[in-house]
Amino acid sequence: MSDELNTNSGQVPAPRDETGEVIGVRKGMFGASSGGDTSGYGGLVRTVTLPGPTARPYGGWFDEVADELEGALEEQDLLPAEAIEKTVVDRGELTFHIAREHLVRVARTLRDDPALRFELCTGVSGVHFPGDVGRELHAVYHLRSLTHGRLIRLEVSAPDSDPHIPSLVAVYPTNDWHERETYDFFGLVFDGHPALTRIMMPDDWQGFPQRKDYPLGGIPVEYKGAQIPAPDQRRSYS
Amino acid sequence: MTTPHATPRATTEGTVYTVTGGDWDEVVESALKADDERIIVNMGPQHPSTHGVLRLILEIDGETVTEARCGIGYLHTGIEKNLEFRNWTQGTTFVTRMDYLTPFFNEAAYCLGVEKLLGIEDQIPDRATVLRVLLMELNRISSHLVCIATGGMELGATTIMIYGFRDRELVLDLFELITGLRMNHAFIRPGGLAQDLPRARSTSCASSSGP
Repeated sequence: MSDELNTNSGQVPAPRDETGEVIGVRKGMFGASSGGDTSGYGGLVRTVTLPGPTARPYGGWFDEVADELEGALEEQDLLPAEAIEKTVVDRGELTFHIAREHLVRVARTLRDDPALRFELCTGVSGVHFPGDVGRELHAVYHLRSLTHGRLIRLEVSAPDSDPHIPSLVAVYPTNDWHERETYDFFGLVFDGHPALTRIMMPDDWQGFPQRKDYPLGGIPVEYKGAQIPAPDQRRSYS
Repeated sequence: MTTPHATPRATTEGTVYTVTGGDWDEVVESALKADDERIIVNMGPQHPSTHGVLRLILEIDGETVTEARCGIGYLHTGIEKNLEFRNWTQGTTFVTRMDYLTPFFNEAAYCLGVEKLLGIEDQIPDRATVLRVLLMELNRISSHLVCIATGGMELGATTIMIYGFRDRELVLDLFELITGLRMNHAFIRPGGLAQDLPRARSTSCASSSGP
């Protein structure tokens, strides 16, 4: 299989800071805590770590993209260190963490610069990290360059208390419905979106269902005479 | 309208109009004469040719659609939220239902993601990878047959619809032999497959490929 374009093609990146960023510790299987454990996973303790910043060289074409992006931002009198909070290479994929106030300019640069040319944004996904204090809500964009055959990721974060991120619809018009979806499920407000309304949930829905603190819901179901509780209420999961 | 094109009939639910006869030309003509024909019409949430539940909120000026808004939430199933309360292996059972025409692709994409997160990509047996590809290729054929079949149905060609679904069954029979189910297999699992091929595989595949 030839996937030179999307992987490091043999060049090993410099070892990254293994400590990373610890944002929480999970116990048991699914976070429920009522009742005794019958699943065998009750003793499971796992540290949730986000990958820390990677030191150069990133390997393969990653360095070229990073160089071009930083150079193009400098040309616009924007210090790369201001716009790019950190660059992460994890599992053979390149992620730029962008400060939200510079997101639109960075995306426009990535789209228009001849050496970058990320013409296609395949949408925005939301992620909720309740333990990542001050950066609880993340928006993740995947950018594809058809010219160069490359795929990178942009990650932007916003605190729960101020869930605003600038809209990319002006740069990538296809993000219209994707931003509505991310707003619908995570409550991320995309400033500048032409019509930010709910898209999946009913218009009058309360709350944002994909946030981690939003309950799964469900009702007990009777099955062969026994009451089976809703999935997040089953004691076997704690 | 002076001439009733549909006979009114009073019921407990209100007046019901029964549309009869071939006088549609007159109906359209009278509608065109009126100036205030801008109306809002709900198309859906169900429509036989939308292959799913789509609601279009149409603003119609006479016969011209001047504005259309889409309500696409009726097929949202909350699979992501449900997966937060399941383990990785159980996840396959959900994702196989995301697109019921291409279950193996859903499973493969999900499992490849899980394997990448776990960092076990190098430990997946070659045989499992080959079988995944073969299953996906068969699945691609069966999915395309449905596409052609329903495409024909939209043009009013019911024959091609019957042929498409008939030939898709040959692939689904193979799936049933291999995974035990025609659809919703949950056969591709993080780490490999649920089980190996059954013994009778060679003859079944050859006979299915016949005329």
